[in-house]
Amino acid sequence: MSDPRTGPGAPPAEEAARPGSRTRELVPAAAGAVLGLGAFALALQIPEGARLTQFSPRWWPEVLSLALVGLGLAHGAVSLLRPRGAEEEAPEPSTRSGALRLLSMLAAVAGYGVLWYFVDFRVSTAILVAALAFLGGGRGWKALIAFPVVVTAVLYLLFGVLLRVPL
Amino acid sequence: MRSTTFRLTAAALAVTALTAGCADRGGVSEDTTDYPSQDITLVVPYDAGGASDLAARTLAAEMEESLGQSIIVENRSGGAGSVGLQDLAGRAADGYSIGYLPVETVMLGYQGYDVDPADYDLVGQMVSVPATIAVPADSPHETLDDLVKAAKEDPDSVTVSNSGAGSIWEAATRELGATADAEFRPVPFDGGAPAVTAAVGEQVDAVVAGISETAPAHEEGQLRVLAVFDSEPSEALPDVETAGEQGVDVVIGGWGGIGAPAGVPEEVLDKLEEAFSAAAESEEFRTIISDSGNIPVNVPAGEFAEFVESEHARFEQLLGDEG
Amino acid sequence: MSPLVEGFSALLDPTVLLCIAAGALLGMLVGAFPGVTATMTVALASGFTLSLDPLPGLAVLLTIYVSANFGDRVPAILVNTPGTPASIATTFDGYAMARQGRAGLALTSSAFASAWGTLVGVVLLMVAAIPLSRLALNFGPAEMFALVVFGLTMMIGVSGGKVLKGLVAGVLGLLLATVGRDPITGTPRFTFGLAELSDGIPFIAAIIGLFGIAEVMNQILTHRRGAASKPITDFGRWFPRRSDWRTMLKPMAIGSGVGGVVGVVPATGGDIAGILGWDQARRASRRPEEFGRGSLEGITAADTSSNATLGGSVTTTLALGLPGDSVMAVMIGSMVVWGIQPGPSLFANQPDLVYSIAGIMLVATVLALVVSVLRMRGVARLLELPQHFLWAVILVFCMVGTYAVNNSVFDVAVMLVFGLLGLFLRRFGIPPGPVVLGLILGSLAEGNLRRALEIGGVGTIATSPIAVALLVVSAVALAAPPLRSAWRRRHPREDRGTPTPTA
Repeated sequence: MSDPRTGPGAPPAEEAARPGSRTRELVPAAAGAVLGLGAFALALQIPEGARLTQFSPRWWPEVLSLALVGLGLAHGAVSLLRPRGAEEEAPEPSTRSGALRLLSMLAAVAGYGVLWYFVDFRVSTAILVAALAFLGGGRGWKALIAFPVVVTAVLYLLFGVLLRVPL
Repeated sequence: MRSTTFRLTAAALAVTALTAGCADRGGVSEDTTDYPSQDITLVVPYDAGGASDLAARTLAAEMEESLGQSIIVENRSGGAGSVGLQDLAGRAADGYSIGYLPVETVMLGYQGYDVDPADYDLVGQMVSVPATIAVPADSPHETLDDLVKAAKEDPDSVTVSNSGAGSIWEAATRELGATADAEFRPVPFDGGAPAVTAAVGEQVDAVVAGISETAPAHEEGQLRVLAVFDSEPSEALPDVETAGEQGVDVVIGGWGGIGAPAGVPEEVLDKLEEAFSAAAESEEFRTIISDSGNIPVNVPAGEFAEFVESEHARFEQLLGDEG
Repeated sequence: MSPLVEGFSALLDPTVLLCIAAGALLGMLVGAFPGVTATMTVALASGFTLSLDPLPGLAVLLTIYVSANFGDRVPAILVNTPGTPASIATTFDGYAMARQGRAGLALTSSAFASAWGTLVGVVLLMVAAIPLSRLALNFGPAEMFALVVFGLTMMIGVSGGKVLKGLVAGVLGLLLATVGRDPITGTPRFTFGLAELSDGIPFIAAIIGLFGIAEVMNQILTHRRGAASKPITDFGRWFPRRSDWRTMLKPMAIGSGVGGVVGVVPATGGDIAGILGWDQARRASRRPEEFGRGSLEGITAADTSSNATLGGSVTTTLALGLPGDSVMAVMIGSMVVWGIQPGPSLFANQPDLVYSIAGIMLVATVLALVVSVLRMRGVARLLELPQHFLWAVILVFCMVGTYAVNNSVFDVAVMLVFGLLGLFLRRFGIPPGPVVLGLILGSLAEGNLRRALEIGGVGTIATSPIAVALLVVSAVALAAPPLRSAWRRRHPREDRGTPTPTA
């Protein structure tokens, strides 16, 4: 399983905590342009088909990646030229405790991926649910024992028994 | 349902497979005389619901009876079937993991995927899907010869739809072109049904698809099947001649069989073959397969292995120059 | 008349009614689980139903098909996660309504809209199956390409007024859709040697990540200790008022028209129809600025449209013998084994069976509607769980549901990566709608364009009346709003009294 924290075009979102209105425009514009350039470079390495076709396999990705670069630049230019303060509905600010909690929950999910190989689905899932409930702030036997058991039972009944998914 | 011991064993086997890779083939030091003593997993490299899945599930239900253990069908689709095939090759060769092997087993290796038929012990072949070529109902081409002539007169102008780039039906189109010394223009679609639809809707001149996909449209009068690429005429299309009878000697099509990761102990393999043969012979299996328009067969392991080898060599020629 | 009576009365068999009930329960349940699609459930259920007689078997399968398209609305509205791809457009307004404390109204009106859409589709099937299927046959690669171009003009509509950001997101989606093997030559593109990527980015995993997981991550990220911002405990009123019904009338009409057409076209289904219906209703609405911000019209149009495709898909399937969508592809397999050969002759030889099928769908629709309306309160209770429970439930259910699609851990990883991508987009105010639209339409656009060119060059498109007409409509759709607003700026007086449109 690949590290879920690094995805294409998904830099750590915590950095976006309370961005200024201009940053909120420039960061995605730059990300779009950079991603477009990267995709274009990769598209150039796509092997040409051995067979003659009207368009090569590279054509469509190349067009799109250039369009992405162009749109990113245009977006950046527009937001630089436009007067400040026109920004509407900024997202709720993130909190430090929220960021920590998100990271630890993702770590728990990654740990689950590993655990699943070694332990029965019913055990590993109950542990994960308990861990997530704990990280979310749940305490006591209801949150840490009863709740995970119920969730796991529902999942197992639906997927394992009813749909015969090999869990 | 599945027991905890099975789950733990499976997990342990998965770990073994992960750490040791496929290196310890045949190194399963288990007493094989009481095989099968637990559930067996049958890997199908396609989504649930397709023709291959149906064939595998029907066969599995019949094999369960003679083996006396449950066979759990596991669909692992993706990568044109390579994901499931690779998954099967990496499992323990103890007979508790078997899989459905489609014709792609011998093709994918030449198309940039990590799939090699030598990674599997073959149990038997159970289904055959001869390729057919069909034209729209009011097409001017009455016979295969007409179509080939048209392609010779104006090379690369006769468009022939198929289910996808790299599919067996695209390969069949090329094989036809190579044998008849004519140049067709294959047009890959996204699946067999859209390819057939394109021919019914007269967007293309012809379609190459499996007999189960073209025969219903032929009976409905939406398409005219010109030839079946098999060695003998099909029961589903008794009025259609084979390509060979029309002077173009091409026998090609899809097929499906059962295999296991290479290195399964001899006694276990014998039991699997026995159960396979009984299942492939069963009334239930034969009816469901022929009702779905395909041809049920029962090819024993040895013969199947020879066939797979010859197919592998054939596709090396047909696909090898694709790069 | 007699085949109609015969077909419908065959359904009075208690076994059939029992099968419908079982199918409805199963369908609603799995529809509500993100990841599990109607296709997968029908495929797995067909393993059991093959041993039944054709009619009870069809009752189970068709009812699952119908009711999954009710159940999937629930997570779309309550937790911003489409239960199946068909309810992507439901999230646009449904979740916004829920956040405004109107979850009750959203759930019931969605159920009524879905039921209406299904009914329209089924009536279409009964009265016009054969001519409609002829229309479907005219949709070759050239026409499909033009239809997809028309779909791409919706990018601006789903951008929610942020056109440049929306276009960046849309092109990103289109680019993501190029991952996988080239549709014509089979050349690997952006697959990084991973076999799992050679069929493209797993779509269901991607949408669950972009919508549901991103939403949960955002809630976790912005959660304040002690602030106890209860998500949605206030459901508002449940039943639409007379004025609400009046508002819903127009989008229902638009939605059923759009959905009916999209359903008949092969290889397009509820996901595209939902977005298309939503966007057409937005264009026609007097309050387009509310779309995406909790518009009753929006959710009505989306759900009517996506469910009106059901009848259309069944029509193509039965009248041509060619599957109208992926569920129907599975169902054809079962029908053939039962000795039912879908195709033009089915209508001549077994018209009663066609009416039985329509009847099953009608009964299933009514049943699903009743269950939806009765049961909503109970399901909605889920949201009264404390937030930490809710996060855990959504995360785990999405993970297991996504795994179950292909039994693939890789898909789960993709879902999490798209969750992070969705979080990034959300934090920077980029709408996720265009990304999804790009993902859906990208491979259709490229594949059909290149297929059309393979068949006969540019002439394939230029000589098709349908394709040309659709391309003209697309150009008009793009050009009209800016022209109209320019015209209004110049003639401000004539504009008085009408609300200002969005760009």
